[in-house]
Amino acid sequence: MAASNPSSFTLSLHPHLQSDSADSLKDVIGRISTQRGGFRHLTEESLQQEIVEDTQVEDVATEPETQDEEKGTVRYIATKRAEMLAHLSAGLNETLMALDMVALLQSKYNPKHGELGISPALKQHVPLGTLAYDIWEMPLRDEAQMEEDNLVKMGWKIKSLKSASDSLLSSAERLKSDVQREVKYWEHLLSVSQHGWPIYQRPGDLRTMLVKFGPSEAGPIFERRGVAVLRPSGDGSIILDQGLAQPPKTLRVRVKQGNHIKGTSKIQTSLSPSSDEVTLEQHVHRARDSLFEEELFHEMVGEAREQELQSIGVRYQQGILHLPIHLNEDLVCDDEILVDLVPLDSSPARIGDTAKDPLAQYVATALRLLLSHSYRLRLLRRSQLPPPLTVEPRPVPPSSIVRPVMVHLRHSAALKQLRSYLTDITRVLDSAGFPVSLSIQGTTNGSGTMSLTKLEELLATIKPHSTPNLIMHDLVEALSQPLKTSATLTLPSSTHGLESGARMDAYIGVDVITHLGAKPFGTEYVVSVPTSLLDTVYKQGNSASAVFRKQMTFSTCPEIIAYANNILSLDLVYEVLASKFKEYDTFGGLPQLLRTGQRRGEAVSVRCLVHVTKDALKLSTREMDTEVGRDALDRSTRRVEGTESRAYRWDGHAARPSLLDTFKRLNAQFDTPS
Amino acid sequence: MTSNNAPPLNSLHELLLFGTVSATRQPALLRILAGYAGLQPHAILELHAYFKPTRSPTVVQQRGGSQGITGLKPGQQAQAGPKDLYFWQLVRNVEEDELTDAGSDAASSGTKPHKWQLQFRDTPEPGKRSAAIRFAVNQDVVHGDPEAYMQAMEYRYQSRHLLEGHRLVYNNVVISLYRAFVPREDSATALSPLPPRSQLQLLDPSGTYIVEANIRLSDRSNPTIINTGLKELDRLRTQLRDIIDLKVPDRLKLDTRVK
Repeated sequence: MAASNPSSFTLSLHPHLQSDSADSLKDVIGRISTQRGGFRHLTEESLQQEIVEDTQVEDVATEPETQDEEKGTVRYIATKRAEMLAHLSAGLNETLMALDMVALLQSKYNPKHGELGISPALKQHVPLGTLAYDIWEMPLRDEAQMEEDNLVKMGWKIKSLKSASDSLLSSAERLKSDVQREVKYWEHLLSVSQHGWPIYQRPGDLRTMLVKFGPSEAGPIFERRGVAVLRPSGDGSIILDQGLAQPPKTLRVRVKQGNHIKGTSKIQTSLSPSSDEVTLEQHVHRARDSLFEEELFHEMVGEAREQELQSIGVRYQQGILHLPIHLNEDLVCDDEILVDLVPLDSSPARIGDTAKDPLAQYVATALRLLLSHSYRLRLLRRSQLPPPLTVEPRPVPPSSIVRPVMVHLRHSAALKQLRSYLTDITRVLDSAGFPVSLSIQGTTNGSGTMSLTKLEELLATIKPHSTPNLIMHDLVEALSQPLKTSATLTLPSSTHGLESGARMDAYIGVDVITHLGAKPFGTEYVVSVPTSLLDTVYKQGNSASAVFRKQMTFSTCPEIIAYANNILSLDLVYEVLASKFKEYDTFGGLPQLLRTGQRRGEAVSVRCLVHVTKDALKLSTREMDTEVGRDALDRSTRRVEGTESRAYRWDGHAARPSLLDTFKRLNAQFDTPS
Repeated sequence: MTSNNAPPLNSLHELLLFGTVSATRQPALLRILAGYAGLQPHAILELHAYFKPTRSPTVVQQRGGSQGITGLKPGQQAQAGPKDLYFWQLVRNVEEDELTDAGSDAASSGTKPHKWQLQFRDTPEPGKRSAAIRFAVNQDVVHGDPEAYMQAMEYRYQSRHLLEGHRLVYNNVVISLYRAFVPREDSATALSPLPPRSQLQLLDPSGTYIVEANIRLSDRSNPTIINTGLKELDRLRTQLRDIIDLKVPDRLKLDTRVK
């Protein structure tokens, strides 16, 4: 560049700027001042001088030969000589090196000859016989072969490009399916979450998603089972992985009468686990339901082991919980409720008789409500201020699930028995001419089931809450209280008593109370009778009066039936007959009347015995010797000998003359004292 | 209290850890704790009235038999010094409507007596533990005028404040988040009706909540119980480590002695 444009060579160290017409004056000035040390030292002469010197130097450097033009001078000769010597030594060197190479080559095939020619320097550095030769045939350029090779080359190239594109496509395909799978997975997850199931990552393993479906108040065994892993399957749909889960189960309640299964509670319609239509939510639902039922059964079995329940016949045998409805005198239950767990996917044939029974269904519903209620109680207990820490862990109160159901069953069975007796006796007394009235009221109506009005009253007492859930719990709480039902039966003397008129207090009251607590568990009957009757009966000062109180408590129905029968008999004898027929004497606190008098001029004693049973009212008369009769009266002997002469019976439907009429006719047989 | 008819003192020991949380973070913390404990927090609004003994500290003097005296070294008598006197407090729950203008009027008409509890909190015991331990007495006032009772016991009403916050229970730990309000100008008795909410101001103007984790122990002398309690508190502290810093309080900051 410098040669082609010498004028531009001068100063600039930035050649590319030369062509830049936009080189400002400022830059040029700055450059000059830095290079020349200011304009002060810059004169035209010095610059001219500089230019001249530069061209001279350049001429010397570029054309040094021009000075050696003179041939024949000493300097010329010397130069040429030196040149020649240099050429010669180079030629010699190359010759020797060629010799060395040939000798070395020869030393491979003829070492002795070869060794002679090798220079010492080479011998020192290269071992002998290390160079050899081969004669190769030069390949011919084959056009056809080359063409073929080109084709192969292109073929390989195409093949590898294709495989690359294939792998890219398959990756894209795989990514697409991955994306679809992920989308499906998260959509499912979202739908589960939107249905209200809590979903969370497993602590420490953030890739695993879990769903919690178990109730938060579930017991320690079931708490862990209330969580399942949401595992993606091959196509992205979610598998509910419950680990070592058991097949879904459901509670079955059956009513057994004698040896015959009368009916079954409604078994949830089973979803076939293999069917594909089952959505994930349904799976979660089913897992939740199954867990709930299993815990319910577990809690019930645990509760059934308690002594109070064992003592009333609740037992767990071979996977079935037996809840007796009614025990007969031999403590063998005629009717019972059987509760067990059955696999949800059982066919109806395996489940057995599918006849629906309302009682079984009620019990099943009640049991489920009670578990839900006990969850609530657990939450309440957990929320309360804990007692100070002690060495023993805080005891967990047992669930109360079987207990309330048993209370209702027992109460209703007891009431059923009592009611049947009372209606029978009402009919019997009615047929004998004593219309009595019966009324039953209390927590339950006469048939033992909760009446709607009672339920409404109960609901009215419950404080208005915001959520129906709380109302449900309050209702369950109210229904879990001990049950009390009162029955009143007016006595015959209330209508046919003393001339003073009907007596309002002449009735037998029976309170049927079924307790829920530990002691006493079961039904007790509190019978109250009018004290006026007892006073009348025992005014003779019989020692037996100590046994009779205004209120008596019995624990079984037969006892109370016997007692009520006796009271009715006594009432008939003392308050009705004895007050109407003054000629008769009563004695011994027994339902007996004795008259000693003249019959057709003959002294005779007649003893009349009134006996009330559930089936019939019986009036029997015996005649006896006057002496014996008087003796019996004096000593208030219970046993009075005599031959039975007549018996009258009112069994509830025969339209016979009433007891009073019959008695009047009997009485008329005696001679009227003149 | 000292009469034979009074019920026995409901005394216990408490293991304590404290932390603080700013007012802005309190709702979040409350939600986290509710999720952690698995139950909803219970709102608390309590009135605490402090009573100070009016009698001067008395020197404990040994009366009666002097068998022990002979065994005492000369310096020991002086070391016993005056017996410490402590603040006591009367505590009751406050209904939200007592803090409205209408509510305080209704309360002043005096419809139903409030259920007070007489509380004593000792200064935490010295010693290095992973939680503070202190003696506490909670005595329910069944009937009667609690302030008159306190006066009879030579205690004078000192001040009162309201604690507002939430409480939740996790196993044996009672976790409370609260902050204190004091009336701007207060009456001279503990039982007078509360001023409306507008007349209350935060004791700590920043509105910071105090977080208290408390385990109550039935028997101080049983090391098993203390260890169980300490372990449970430790577990809680570890699990909540990233959420709230629960610390052992400085015992002298919880000093209830009268100086």
